[in-house]
Amino acid sequence: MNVKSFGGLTASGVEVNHPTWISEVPELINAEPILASGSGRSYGDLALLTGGRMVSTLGLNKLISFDEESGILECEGGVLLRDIQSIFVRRGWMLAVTPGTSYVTVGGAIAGDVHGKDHHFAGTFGDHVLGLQLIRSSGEILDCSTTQNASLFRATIAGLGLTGFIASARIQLKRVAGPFMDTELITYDSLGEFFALSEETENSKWQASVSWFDCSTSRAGRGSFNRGLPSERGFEEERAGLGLSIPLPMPFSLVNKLSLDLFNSAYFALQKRQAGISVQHYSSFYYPLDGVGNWNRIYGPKGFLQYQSVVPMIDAEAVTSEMLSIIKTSGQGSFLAVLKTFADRKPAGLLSFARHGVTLALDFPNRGPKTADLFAKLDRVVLEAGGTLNPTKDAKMTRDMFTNGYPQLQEFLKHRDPAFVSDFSKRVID
Amino acid sequence: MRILVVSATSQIARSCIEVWAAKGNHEFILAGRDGGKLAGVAMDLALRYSGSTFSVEILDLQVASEIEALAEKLSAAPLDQVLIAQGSLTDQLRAKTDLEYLKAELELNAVSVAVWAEAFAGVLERQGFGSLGVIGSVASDRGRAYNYSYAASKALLDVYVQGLQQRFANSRVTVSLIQPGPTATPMTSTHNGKMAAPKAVAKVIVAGLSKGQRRIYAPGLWLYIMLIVRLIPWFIFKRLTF
Repeated sequence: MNVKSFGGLTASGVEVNHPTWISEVPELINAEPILASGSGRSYGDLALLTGGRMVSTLGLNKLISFDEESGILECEGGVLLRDIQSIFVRRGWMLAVTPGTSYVTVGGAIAGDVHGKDHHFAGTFGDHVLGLQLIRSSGEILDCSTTQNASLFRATIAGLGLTGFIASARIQLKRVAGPFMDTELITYDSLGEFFALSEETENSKWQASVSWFDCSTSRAGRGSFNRGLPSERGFEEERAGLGLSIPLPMPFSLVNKLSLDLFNSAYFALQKRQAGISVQHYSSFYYPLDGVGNWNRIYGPKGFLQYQSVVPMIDAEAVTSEMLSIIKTSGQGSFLAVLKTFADRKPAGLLSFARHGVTLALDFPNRGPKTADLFAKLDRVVLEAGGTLNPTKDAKMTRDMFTNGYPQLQEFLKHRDPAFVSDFSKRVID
Repeated sequence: MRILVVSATSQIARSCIEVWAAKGNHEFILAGRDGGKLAGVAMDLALRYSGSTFSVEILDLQVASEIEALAEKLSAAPLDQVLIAQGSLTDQLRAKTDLEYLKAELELNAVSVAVWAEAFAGVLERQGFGSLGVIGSVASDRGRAYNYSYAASKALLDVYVQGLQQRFANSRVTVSLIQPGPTATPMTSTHNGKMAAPKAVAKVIVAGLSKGQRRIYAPGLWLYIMLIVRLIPWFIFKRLTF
């Protein structure tokens, strides 16, 4: 059968299996080539395996144990982050790190070592994984943690699903008072202001931040900066009908080049009006797009491509404005442009994407050669700056870009399970 | 409510439990054969739905004396709902040549389920109220070359339930035959085609049981599909391959 990625890439001739018990897994993965798959939220070809067998973790979604005192959750790899958030927030616990969608499995979050708005405060998802159970194609079942099979553990975090099948994991949750976030929305007029705001935020009480910016109009470089921290408000206030602010959905639409300028200007004006301090439910703060069903299909049958780069902090401002001018010149405005700084922290995995610097995420409708050409131009700037791209979003990166951007690749490959292959690994590693 | 779910590790049973538990706090008794799997499911449910309680009964689902003993034990307190979800999707190709397999499947899908239904119909009758749901299949509405061994075992349940319904017609006991269409469960994961999500099927089942509906097609569209299948004249039907 055909399997489609979130961005619309297709893998054909795939045999998909849906085990519901971990005990079925060793037999199912005793094949080659093989790949585990989760929610299918990877944009590109990381979770696709043309002509191979994909073993879905979605039926492996049982919670195994939870310690109310320590906040340590053990669960199977197919549990959705969405479930963890909604079940445990009622008991005063939430994930310490979450990406921008909650429709992601625990296994996928580990394999991609996903990051979110909390990077400067809490690092990546892998930083909160205390241990995991990995099933290798040989049938071996290995408990991995910082004290047991430690190097395999570090390779599996951000291991792109290539070290084996993540059957279960133990995750440290963080204490919260309730489901709310105290947030602040600030508009800015230049990239310089963005960098100043980011630096200030990193050294403040704020635990999470992200920024949308306008990369299309003549006023490109302006944007809005959103930051938050868990609120002290409990559930009583949810029942009391607390006056929550409902933020605008992120800016993306069917706008074409002509209306994009107008759209971005209007969005900016609206953000400006909403600016200030408010209280938001965690779901609208962390997952603004989860409320919009199938937003990825808005780009039509050809789907879309995301370009997410990270470049070192030195020169980040100059590099970012160069990238912006390339995008402007290309005439292919991005509807969703997100800018964020990563703090200086030790990465959790050998192939972790998040590293000290600035990350820029841009969505483009897939216009074939035109888009490929734009990406090649951006690649040159990113490579020259010593940066790289995010595999979980990628569909186009070159072998060079991957090898240069992930210097621990050779170390990682020692832990690779040879039977585990993806269209991504075929393209840039194998 | 106090709810007994037999073969609680099956996907449809788990989804029904989730639908019940999401709406209110209940006392669930999960019966099954595999203690490890049952405990895993019970723990998962207990963590997700902290307002409800989940206990586990491990027994051989095909041994009449064990079923009888459980019925006796559970009748110490009133049972509001019994759901029997036991079943295995018989491999028709194998059943054609492996007669031991065929016999075992018929016993698992038909004989033992009827014993469960009879045992707990008795419990509900003695307490004077309650709802009994038996999971059959849309397949039993007409025998087809493709899956008649499975369909025939479900057809036995159909008639059995009809008998129970008439027996309890003038009481506060209701008995429902649940006929799910192909659902995206592990039983059907190797089949292709459009399938309903277990959650959607479970919502239809739970709603039907609460109304004491005699026959619950889930999703409801299958009522019309199977009506058409039953009405196809033989001279056409014999040429069909579905």
